[in-house]
Amino acid sequence: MNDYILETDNLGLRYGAFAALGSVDLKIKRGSIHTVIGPNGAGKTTLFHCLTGERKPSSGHIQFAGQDVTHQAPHKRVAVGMSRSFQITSLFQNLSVRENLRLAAQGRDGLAALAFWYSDSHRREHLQKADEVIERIKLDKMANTYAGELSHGQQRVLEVGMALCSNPQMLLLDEPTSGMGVDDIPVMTQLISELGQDHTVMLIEHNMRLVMSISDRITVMHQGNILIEGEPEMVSGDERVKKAYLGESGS
Amino acid sequence: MMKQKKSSLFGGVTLAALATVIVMPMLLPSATLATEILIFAMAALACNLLLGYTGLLSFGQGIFFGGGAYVASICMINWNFGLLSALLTAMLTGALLAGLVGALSIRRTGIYFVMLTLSFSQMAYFIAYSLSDWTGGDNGLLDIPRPALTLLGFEISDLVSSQAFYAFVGTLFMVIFVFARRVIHSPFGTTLVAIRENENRASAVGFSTNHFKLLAFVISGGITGIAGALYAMLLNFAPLSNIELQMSESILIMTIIGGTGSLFGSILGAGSIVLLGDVLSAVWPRWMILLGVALIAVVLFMPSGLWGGVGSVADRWREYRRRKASAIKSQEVN
Repeated sequence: MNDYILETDNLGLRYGAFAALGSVDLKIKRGSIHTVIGPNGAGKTTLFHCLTGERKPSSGHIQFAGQDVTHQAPHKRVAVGMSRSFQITSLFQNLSVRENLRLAAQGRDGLAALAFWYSDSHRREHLQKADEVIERIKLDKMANTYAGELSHGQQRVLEVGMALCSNPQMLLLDEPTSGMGVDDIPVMTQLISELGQDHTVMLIEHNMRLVMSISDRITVMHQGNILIEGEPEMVSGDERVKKAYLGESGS
Repeated sequence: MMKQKKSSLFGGVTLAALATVIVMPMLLPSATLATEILIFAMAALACNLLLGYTGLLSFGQGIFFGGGAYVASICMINWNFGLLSALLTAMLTGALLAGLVGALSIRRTGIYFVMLTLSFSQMAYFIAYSLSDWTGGDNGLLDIPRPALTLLGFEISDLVSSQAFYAFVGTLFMVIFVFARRVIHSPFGTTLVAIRENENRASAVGFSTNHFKLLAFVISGGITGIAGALYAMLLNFAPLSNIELQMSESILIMTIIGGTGSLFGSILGAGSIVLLGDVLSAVWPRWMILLGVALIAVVLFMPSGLWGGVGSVADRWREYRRRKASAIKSQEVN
């Protein structure tokens, strides 16, 4: 079996003359936590959107678990084992935490969920999955609270939990700590590193401490291309990275 | 913490609906009026599946209502269709029309979706108007029979009296009500709510949202088609106004006034609008102005509709009871 769960080959996205993504060859190892960082406008989010299917790349291919998913619709990627979270919290605000997760688990059924003739409680496995994830993300006390009534930190955690419900092989997390307070960040760090034990995790993140402490590999992007890729120590010591990234925002 | 709602098909709201269906003819001056309320409650219920549960504001409901009325009537007049086969035809017509309108409209979202349904509605009206050989055009379709109810060759009722027809419509209404409850508590129905809440997320967790919206349209159209056919049987007449834009509006207004996202609300909405029309139109020919006032008041002061208003009073009552009970409990502990 191939060591890499996800491989992109010459992936690019052009808007007219402007290349949001130049030519990206990204390889993500099975079972690793792989972080993509880079200054604003480096193409991280564009890359992410190409991987989730929200944007159609103008060149190149995406291979996921041995399949070419380059032109697959976002909702179909869930069935092959890809699952994502959103940078801007995107929940079912007026539904309970449990129902949010149950629906996310039901999503894996795809068109089979069109069944309108039997009760939703018929499919026990979705409720079980929801309860399992609730425990995992430690929101048991909030199971019956509306998602919209959770604190921002809890919503961010639920956001990641939703992605977990489809039994994905790979989790794509778009800035999981975005907007989180300092107090909540350790919870998220802990959760992601735990998830890394049995999933492949790819994330985009700005919080350097989190990135350095949990990543197995880091890819630094700059102006639509990969600048450098390696282990955290190597990346944090690299001069080019300092110049492109830390120098710009860190000084 | 919120209470966990258990969805029982035949309890709770279904009982309330059944009680309403039974009591209504006793309270109202005529069974015909009660029948009209139930027919529009059916249409509002179907509209609610789209508006309340899926979040789709469709101006196409009149197409399915009028379409069902015309096709069932034409079949009864020209080919002697029986009662149930006429209703079945109306259902299929409504579903088919909704499938067509839906398939094209859901390709856009938001305001563009609404505009598309609006355009279809206008188009359907002019098609009905110009096919006057079939639809009677401006004069409407006259002398529509109300066939007897026969099952397996036995005549159960001739449905001539307005009470008998009410009983039939009431039974059918309850069947549809229970069906709609089943739909909204099914995997499909819960997914519709997910789409209403956040279509992006629904798609991200794996739902092909357009398929779900289309099926919602088809189910809604089927029910609305039945309602249209029943209305034609009630009046023995299918006016052109059945398929006018104003029919779509009326159905939408009933749904909104009753409360989106609650099936019982649709009965309240249809009931109040039909009654209001019946009472006020006798007093004042410009009663529609008052209807406008009522709609404005509900939208401003009861955003979840009449049923929502009832619900919040009930919630407060429950909260009050709970507090009282826990106060007694803590006294006992002390």
